[in-house]
Amino acid sequence: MSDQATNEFVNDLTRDWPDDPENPKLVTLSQTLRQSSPALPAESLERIRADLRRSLVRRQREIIIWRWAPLAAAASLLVCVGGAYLFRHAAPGAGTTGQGPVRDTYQVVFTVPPTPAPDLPLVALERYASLY
Amino acid sequence: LTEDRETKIEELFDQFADKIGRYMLSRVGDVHTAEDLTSRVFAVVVRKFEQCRGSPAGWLWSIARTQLIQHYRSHRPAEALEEEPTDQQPLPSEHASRSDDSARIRAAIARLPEEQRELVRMKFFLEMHNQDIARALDMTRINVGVSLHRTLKRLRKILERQARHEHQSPPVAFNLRSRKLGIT
Repeated sequence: MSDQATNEFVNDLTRDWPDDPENPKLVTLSQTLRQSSPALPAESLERIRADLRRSLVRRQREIIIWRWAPLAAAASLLVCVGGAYLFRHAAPGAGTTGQGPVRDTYQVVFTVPPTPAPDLPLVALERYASLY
Repeated sequence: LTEDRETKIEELFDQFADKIGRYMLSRVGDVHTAEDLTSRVFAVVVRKFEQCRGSPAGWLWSIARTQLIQHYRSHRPAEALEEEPTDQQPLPSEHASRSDDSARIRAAIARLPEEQRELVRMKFFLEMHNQDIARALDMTRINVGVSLHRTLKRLRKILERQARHEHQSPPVAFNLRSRKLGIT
Protein backbone atom coordinates (compact mmCIF):
# COMPACT_ATOMS: atom_id res chain seq x y z
CA MET A 1 0.00 0.00 0.00
CA SER A 2 1.49 3.36 -0.99
CA ASP A 3 1.85 6.18 1.53
CA GLN A 4 -0.92 8.13 -0.07
CA ALA A 5 -3.20 5.14 -0.13
CA THR A 6 -2.34 4.39 3.49
CA ASN A 7 -3.11 7.95 4.51
CA GLU A 8 -6.41 7.87 2.70
CA PHE A 9 -7.25 4.53 4.27
CA VAL A 10 -6.48 5.68 7.80
CA ASN A 11 -8.14 9.03 7.31
CA ASP A 12 -11.17 7.25 6.04
CA LEU A 13 -11.14 4.99 9.08
CA THR A 14 -10.82 7.85 11.51
CA ARG A 15 -13.13 10.21 9.70
CA ASP A 16 -16.39 9.85 11.55
CA TRP A 17 -15.39 7.77 14.47
CA PRO A 18 -16.91 7.11 17.04
CA ASP A 19 -20.21 7.44 15.22
CA ASP A 20 -19.24 4.68 12.88
CA PRO A 21 -20.16 1.39 14.53
CA GLU A 22 -19.41 -0.34 11.25
CA ASN A 23 -15.72 0.25 11.81
CA PRO A 24 -14.77 -2.44 14.33
CA LYS A 25 -11.04 -2.03 13.71
CA LEU A 26 -10.91 1.51 14.92
CA VAL A 27 -13.30 0.82 17.76
CA THR A 28 -11.03 -2.03 18.91
CA LEU A 29 -7.96 0.16 18.61
CA SER A 30 -9.73 2.83 20.59
CA GLN A 31 -10.66 0.32 23.28
CA THR A 32 -7.08 -0.89 23.47
CA LEU A 33 -5.78 2.64 23.85
CA ARG A 34 -8.44 3.54 26.38
CA GLN A 35 -7.79 0.43 28.43
CA SER A 36 -4.14 1.34 28.55
CA SER A 37 -5.08 4.51 30.37
CA PRO A 38 -6.13 4.31 34.01
CA ALA A 39 -9.62 5.38 34.97
CA LEU A 40 -10.84 7.08 38.11
CA PRO A 41 -12.09 4.60 40.71
CA ALA A 42 -15.82 4.14 41.06
CA GLU A 43 -15.79 5.84 44.48
CA SER A 44 -14.22 8.92 42.95
CA LEU A 45 -16.90 9.06 40.27
CA GLU A 46 -19.57 8.71 42.94
CA ARG A 47 -18.08 11.60 44.90
CA ILE A 48 -17.98 13.69 41.75
CA ARG A 49 -21.62 12.83 41.10
CA ALA A 50 -22.50 13.93 44.63
CA ASP A 51 -20.63 17.21 44.04
CA LEU A 52 -22.50 17.64 40.80
CA ARG A 53 -25.86 17.17 42.53
CA ARG A 54 -24.93 19.75 45.17
CA SER A 55 -23.93 22.16 42.43
CA LEU A 56 -27.24 21.53 40.67
CA VAL A 57 -29.23 22.31 43.82
CA ARG A 58 -27.21 25.46 44.43
CA ARG A 59 -27.60 26.55 40.84
CA GLN A 60 -31.33 25.91 40.91
CA ARG A 61 -31.61 28.12 43.99
CA GLU A 62 -29.65 30.84 42.24
CA ILE A 63 -31.86 30.59 39.18
CA ILE A 64 -34.99 30.93 41.31
CA ILE A 65 -33.53 33.92 43.16
CA TRP A 66 -32.55 35.63 39.95
CA ARG A 67 -35.92 34.90 38.41
CA TRP A 68 -37.78 36.53 41.33
CA ALA A 69 -35.29 39.29 42.03
CA PRO A 70 -36.68 41.80 39.48
CA LEU A 71 -40.19 41.25 40.80
CA ALA A 72 -39.03 41.73 44.39
CA ALA A 73 -37.16 44.89 43.43
CA ALA A 74 -40.20 46.25 41.61
CA ALA A 75 -42.43 45.48 44.61
CA SER A 76 -39.99 47.20 46.98
CA LEU A 77 -39.87 50.24 44.76
CA LEU A 78 -43.66 50.34 44.61
CA VAL A 79 -43.91 50.15 48.41
CA CYS A 80 -41.36 52.95 48.80
CA VAL A 81 -43.11 55.22 46.29
CA GLY A 82 -46.51 54.48 47.82
CA GLY A 83 -45.23 55.17 51.32
CA ALA A 84 -43.70 58.47 50.26
CA TYR A 85 -46.93 59.50 48.53
CA LEU A 86 -48.99 58.69 51.59
CA PHE A 87 -46.57 60.52 53.84
CA ARG A 88 -46.76 63.68 51.77
CA HIS A 89 -50.45 63.74 50.89
CA ALA A 90 -52.53 61.68 53.22
CA ALA A 91 -51.27 62.98 56.60
CA PRO A 92 -52.73 66.55 57.18
CA GLY A 93 -50.02 69.14 57.52
CA ALA A 94 -47.33 66.54 57.64
CA GLY A 95 -44.37 67.17 55.50
CA THR A 96 -45.54 70.72 54.50
CA THR A 97 -43.30 73.73 54.76
CA GLY A 98 -43.66 77.56 54.99
CA GLN A 99 -45.71 77.79 58.22
CA GLY A 100 -44.90 79.87 61.24
CA PRO A 101 -43.00 78.80 64.30
CA VAL A 102 -44.49 76.11 66.37
CA ARG A 103 -46.28 77.29 69.51
CA ASP A 104 -46.70 75.01 72.41
CA THR A 105 -49.51 75.67 74.88
CA TYR A 106 -49.47 74.32 78.36
CA GLN A 107 -52.38 74.37 80.81
CA VAL A 108 -51.46 74.13 84.45
CA VAL A 109 -54.26 73.47 86.91
CA PHE A 110 -53.74 74.28 90.59
CA THR A 111 -56.14 72.77 93.01
CA VAL A 112 -56.67 75.08 96.02
CA PRO A 113 -58.44 73.73 99.09
CA PRO A 114 -61.69 75.74 99.90
CA THR A 115 -61.16 78.39 102.67
CA PRO A 116 -63.86 79.10 105.31
CA ALA A 117 -65.67 82.51 105.12
CA PRO A 118 -64.41 85.11 107.72
CA ASP A 119 -66.64 86.03 110.67
CA LEU A 120 -66.39 89.81 110.09
CA PRO A 121 -67.09 91.48 106.79
CA LEU A 122 -63.96 92.48 104.95
CA VAL A 123 -65.13 96.18 104.88
CA ALA A 124 -67.25 97.74 107.70
CA LEU A 125 -69.74 99.46 105.42
CA GLU A 126 -72.02 100.62 108.27
CA ARG A 127 -69.20 102.60 109.80
CA TYR A 128 -68.52 104.58 106.72
CA ALA A 129 -72.12 105.03 105.58
CA SER A 130 -71.76 108.83 105.89
CA LEU A 131 -69.22 108.83 103.13
CA TYR A 132 -71.67 107.77 100.48
CA LEU B 1 -37.23 23.99 32.57
CA THR B 2 -34.80 23.44 35.44
CA GLU B 3 -35.70 19.75 35.62
CA ASP B 4 -34.99 19.40 31.92
CA ARG B 5 -31.68 21.17 32.44
CA GLU B 6 -30.78 18.88 35.31
CA THR B 7 -31.66 15.79 33.31
CA LYS B 8 -29.46 16.90 30.43
CA ILE B 9 -26.55 17.64 32.75
CA GLU B 10 -26.91 14.25 34.41
CA GLU B 11 -26.92 12.61 30.98
CA LEU B 12 -23.79 14.53 30.10
CA PHE B 13 -22.23 13.31 33.33
CA ASP B 14 -23.13 9.70 32.62
CA GLN B 15 -21.68 9.96 29.15
CA PHE B 16 -18.50 11.87 29.89
CA ALA B 17 -17.53 11.62 33.56
CA ASP B 18 -15.41 8.53 33.07
CA LYS B 19 -13.77 9.97 29.96
CA ILE B 20 -12.99 13.31 31.58
CA GLY B 21 -11.69 11.49 34.65
CA ARG B 22 -9.46 9.34 32.48
CA TYR B 23 -8.25 12.39 30.61
CA MET B 24 -7.49 14.26 33.84
CA LEU B 25 -5.74 11.28 35.33
CA SER B 26 -3.56 10.97 32.26
CA ARG B 27 -2.68 14.64 32.64
CA VAL B 28 -2.00 14.94 36.36
CA GLY B 29 -1.21 11.35 37.32
CA ASP B 30 -2.80 11.65 40.74
CA VAL B 31 -6.24 10.23 41.51
CA HIS B 32 -7.19 12.89 44.07
CA THR B 33 -6.18 15.79 41.89
CA ALA B 34 -7.86 14.22 38.86
CA GLU B 35 -11.03 13.73 40.90
CA ASP B 36 -10.93 17.33 42.08
CA LEU B 37 -10.37 18.64 38.57
CA THR B 38 -13.12 16.46 37.10
CA SER B 39 -15.47 17.69 39.78
CA ARG B 40 -14.57 21.27 38.91
CA VAL B 41 -15.24 20.60 35.24
CA PHE B 42 -18.78 19.50 36.05
CA ALA B 43 -19.28 22.44 38.40
CA VAL B 44 -18.52 24.68 35.42
CA VAL B 45 -20.91 22.59 33.32
CA VAL B 46 -23.67 23.31 35.84
CA ARG B 47 -22.95 27.04 35.79
CA LYS B 48 -22.49 27.45 32.06
CA PHE B 49 -24.60 24.71 30.58
CA GLU B 50 -26.45 27.17 28.35
CA GLN B 51 -23.16 27.99 26.63
CA CYS B 52 -22.78 24.46 25.29
CA ARG B 53 -23.10 24.71 21.53
CA GLY B 54 -22.39 21.88 19.13
CA SER B 55 -20.32 19.00 20.38
CA PRO B 56 -20.39 18.44 24.15
CA ALA B 57 -17.04 16.62 23.95
CA GLY B 58 -15.31 19.65 22.46
CA TRP B 59 -16.92 21.95 24.99
CA LEU B 60 -15.96 19.67 27.88
CA TRP B 61 -12.41 19.43 26.57
CA SER B 62 -12.10 23.23 26.56
CA ILE B 63 -13.39 23.38 30.16
CA ALA B 64 -11.05 20.58 31.21
CA ARG B 65 -8.13 22.36 29.60
CA THR B 66 -8.98 25.61 31.36
CA GLN B 67 -9.17 23.81 34.68
CA LEU B 68 -5.81 22.17 34.03
CA ILE B 69 -4.21 25.50 33.19
CA GLN B 70 -5.62 27.01 36.39
CA HIS B 71 -4.39 24.02 38.34
CA TYR B 72 -0.86 24.30 36.99
CA ARG B 73 -0.83 28.04 37.47
CA SER B 74 -1.82 27.76 41.09
CA HIS B 75 0.42 24.81 41.91
CA ARG B 76 3.47 25.14 39.72
CA PRO B 77 3.63 28.59 38.21
CA ALA B 78 7.05 28.05 36.74
CA GLU B 79 6.04 25.07 34.64
CA ALA B 80 4.07 25.30 31.46
CA LEU B 81 1.11 23.05 30.82
CA GLU B 82 2.85 21.41 27.88
CA GLU B 83 5.70 20.31 30.09
CA GLU B 84 3.63 17.91 32.13
CA PRO B 85 4.47 14.42 30.90
CA THR B 86 2.41 12.63 33.47
CA ASP B 87 1.27 9.72 31.34
CA GLN B 88 4.39 7.76 32.05
CA GLN B 89 3.96 7.95 35.80
CA PRO B 90 2.48 4.63 36.83
CA LEU B 91 -0.26 4.61 39.40
CA PRO B 92 0.28 2.22 42.30
CA SER B 93 -3.01 0.45 41.87
CA GLU B 94 -2.40 0.02 38.21
CA HIS B 95 0.40 -2.46 38.36
CA ALA B 96 -1.88 -5.16 39.63
CA SER B 97 -4.85 -4.40 37.46
CA ARG B 98 -3.33 -3.55 34.08
CA SER B 99 -2.00 -6.06 31.66
CA ASP B 100 1.54 -5.84 30.35
CA ASP B 101 0.25 -4.71 26.98
CA SER B 102 -1.65 -1.83 28.51
CA ALA B 103 1.37 -0.75 30.50
CA ARG B 104 3.52 -0.86 27.40
CA ILE B 105 1.01 1.10 25.34
CA ARG B 106 0.73 3.68 28.10
CA ALA B 107 4.49 3.97 28.28
CA ALA B 108 4.59 4.37 24.50
CA ILE B 109 1.94 7.10 24.61
CA ALA B 110 4.01 8.86 27.24
CA ARG B 111 6.91 8.98 24.84
CA LEU B 112 4.93 10.78 22.18
CA PRO B 113 5.33 14.54 21.86
CA GLU B 114 2.78 16.47 23.90
CA GLU B 115 0.77 17.54 20.84
CA GLN B 116 0.37 13.94 19.72
CA ARG B 117 -0.39 12.76 23.22
CA GLU B 118 -3.12 15.36 23.45
CA LEU B 119 -4.46 14.19 20.12
CA VAL B 120 -4.62 10.61 21.39
CA ARG B 121 -6.39 11.75 24.53
CA MET B 122 -8.90 13.81 22.59
CA LYS B 123 -9.58 11.17 19.99
CA PHE B 124 -9.49 8.01 22.03
CA PHE B 125 -10.18 9.03 25.63
CA LEU B 126 -12.72 11.79 25.04
CA GLU B 127 -13.94 10.24 21.77
CA MET B 128 -14.06 13.56 19.99
CA HIS B 129 -14.84 13.80 16.29
CA ASN B 130 -12.10 14.95 13.97
CA GLN B 131 -14.19 18.02 13.20
CA ASP B 132 -14.41 18.93 16.88
CA ILE B 133 -10.70 18.34 17.41
CA ALA B 134 -10.00 20.53 14.40
CA ARG B 135 -12.16 23.30 15.84
CA ALA B 136 -10.60 23.00 19.29
CA LEU B 137 -7.02 22.99 18.04
CA ASP B 138 -7.61 25.47 15.25
CA MET B 139 -6.69 22.95 12.57
CA THR B 140 -8.46 21.65 9.50
CA ARG B 141 -10.26 18.36 9.65
CA ILE B 142 -7.88 16.87 7.11
CA ASN B 143 -4.90 17.97 9.19
CA VAL B 144 -6.37 16.23 12.19
CA GLY B 145 -6.74 13.02 10.19
CA VAL B 146 -3.16 13.25 8.96
CA SER B 147 -1.87 14.03 12.46
CA LEU B 148 -3.77 11.10 13.89
CA HIS B 149 -2.31 8.84 11.27
CA ARG B 150 1.20 10.04 12.05
CA THR B 151 0.56 9.67 15.76
CA LEU B 152 -0.60 6.08 15.45
CA LYS B 153 2.29 5.28 13.17
CA ARG B 154 4.75 6.76 15.63
CA LEU B 155 3.10 4.92 18.48
CA ARG B 156 3.55 1.67 16.66
CA LYS B 157 7.24 2.41 16.04
CA ILE B 158 7.76 3.19 19.71
CA LEU B 159 6.06 -0.05 20.66
CA GLU B 160 8.19 -2.03 18.27
CA ARG B 161 11.35 -0.37 19.59
CA GLN B 162 10.28 -1.11 23.14
CA ALA B 163 9.59 -4.72 22.23
CA ARG B 164 13.02 -5.08 20.62
CA HIS B 165 14.62 -3.53 23.68
CA GLU B 166 12.78 -5.88 25.99
CA HIS B 167 13.28 -8.83 23.61
CA GLN B 168 9.55 -9.28 23.53
CA SER B 169 6.91 -9.07 20.88
CA PRO B 170 5.01 -5.80 20.61
CA PRO B 171 1.65 -5.68 22.34
CA VAL B 172 -0.33 -8.18 20.35
CA ALA B 173 -3.57 -6.30 20.26
CA PHE B 174 -2.05 -3.05 19.13
CA ASN B 175 0.31 -4.70 16.69
CA LEU B 176 -2.37 -6.66 14.93
CA ARG B 177 -4.78 -3.79 14.94
CA SER B 178 -2.16 -1.42 13.68
CA ARG B 179 -1.55 -3.66 10.75
CA LYS B 180 -5.23 -3.97 10.11
CA LEU B 181 -5.40 -0.20 10.14
CA GLY B 182 -2.74 -0.08 7.49
CA ILE B 183 -0.28 1.82 9.63
CA THR B 184 3.06 0.78 8.24
